[in-house]
Amino acid sequence: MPSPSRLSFIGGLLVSSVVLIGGAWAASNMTNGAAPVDAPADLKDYVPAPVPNLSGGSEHVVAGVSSEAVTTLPEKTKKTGLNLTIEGVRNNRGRVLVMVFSSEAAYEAYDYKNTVGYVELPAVSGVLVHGFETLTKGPYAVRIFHDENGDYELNMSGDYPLEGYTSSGATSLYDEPKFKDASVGPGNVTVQVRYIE
Amino acid sequence: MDVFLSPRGEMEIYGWEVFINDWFFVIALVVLAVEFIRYAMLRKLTWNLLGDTMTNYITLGMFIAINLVLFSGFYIFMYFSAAQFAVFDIPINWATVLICVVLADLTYYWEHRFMHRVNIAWATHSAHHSSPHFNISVAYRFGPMDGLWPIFFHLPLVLLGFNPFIVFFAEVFVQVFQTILHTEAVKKLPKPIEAIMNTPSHHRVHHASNEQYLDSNYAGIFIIWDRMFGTFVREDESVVYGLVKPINSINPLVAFFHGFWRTGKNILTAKNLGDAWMYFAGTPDWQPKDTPSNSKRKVPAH
Repeated sequence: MPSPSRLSFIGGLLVSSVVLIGGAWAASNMTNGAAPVDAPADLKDYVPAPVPNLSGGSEHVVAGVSSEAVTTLPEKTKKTGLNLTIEGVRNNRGRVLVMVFSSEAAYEAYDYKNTVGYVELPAVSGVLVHGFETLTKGPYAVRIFHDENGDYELNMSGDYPLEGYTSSGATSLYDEPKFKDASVGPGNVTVQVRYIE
Repeated sequence: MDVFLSPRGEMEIYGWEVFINDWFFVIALVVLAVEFIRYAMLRKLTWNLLGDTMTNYITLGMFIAINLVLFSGFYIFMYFSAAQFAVFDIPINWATVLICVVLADLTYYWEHRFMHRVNIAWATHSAHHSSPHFNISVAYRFGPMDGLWPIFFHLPLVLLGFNPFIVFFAEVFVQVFQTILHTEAVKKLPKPIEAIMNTPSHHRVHHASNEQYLDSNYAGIFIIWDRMFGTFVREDESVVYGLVKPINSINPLVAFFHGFWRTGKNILTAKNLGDAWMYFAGTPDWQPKDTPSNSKRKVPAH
């Protein structure tokens, strides 16, 4: 019968602890998203505002937005359509699901089958940008949630969502704007994903 | 890599766990039927083997009943409490499930070594080793507290940040892998497999009562843990299955409770508190020093 020494017993426990912690650390990096990125400096302080419709014939420049501010935007957001900047995603887990509605009824009912725009973005902590190029006629209302565990549900604990969510036009975690208040036109729109804990 | 890294829901993993566990039970019954045909052809099919097999499944029933009544609530409470204090933020996907299975195999090694080397845990686990036979039904032979001890050894995985459902899955996967090793029909597998994986040969040694085989090969999936931590023994001479002191019974109640009877009797009849403690938390081969009649017994108590 093998009788391992006390030293090999303690050594074994130490080696095992290192393997466990190292393995868990490696697992924590097994994400589908890219490495965590902070918001680009030019986006962090960027205040969203309507931008000139570059493809349209009738250009009108909104007061207060300099042309420099426009040129510092990422390539994607320069295009026409609805350009979403999603802020506040807290980690790289799962996906961020974006639903764009043009119908009030569909928006109120969270009817994901009747969206005019839908996209699943791999979650990346910080800022996500997505352009819906075909959405050129507003108004739109956007609902977003961060499906961290990948089950396509906004997981709840009682009445409280466990995953991040927001609507366009929402000003706080508990704000559930009506379609009218959530309405945004085509152009650059920034939304803030919020979490309860 | 997308398949491995795309996010999965915890309920999907839980679904797979239930699927594997349930279907494997059915597959094991088919394997058992094949084993019985083989024993019949070798003219080794005895009433004792049939009775012992029935006993295995009866202990399984009692084990499940005790788990449902006593341990499952504690299990769920511990895991989901520990999840609140997770160290790492670990996503759910097949890559992390794979890592968790390997790590759960390592924690299983220590759990299993603990079950063999601490009297109060051996009291329950010796039920599993009390069969003098070795076939897939023996894998389903459990003791009353076999559902309790694994909690403490797998809790670190939850604390490290693995979702409780991933840990459940990994535990079941290790258990199912070890289940298929309970057979005499497979002699030795190719060398590279025998070097890395736990195999029927290695696990036969684990179930042996031969002195040189005692307290060895605790592995679940990978035998490398035994090789690393000095508890590996190769199968050479033929194995005598069961306990050093056989229970000589196919009574399910004897098989299920004999360990607690032995341990309880030892503790209650101990000469002093120190001895009682050793009968509780010492190793199964521990003997009181000052008993001349005991010093002749070379073989360990199990």
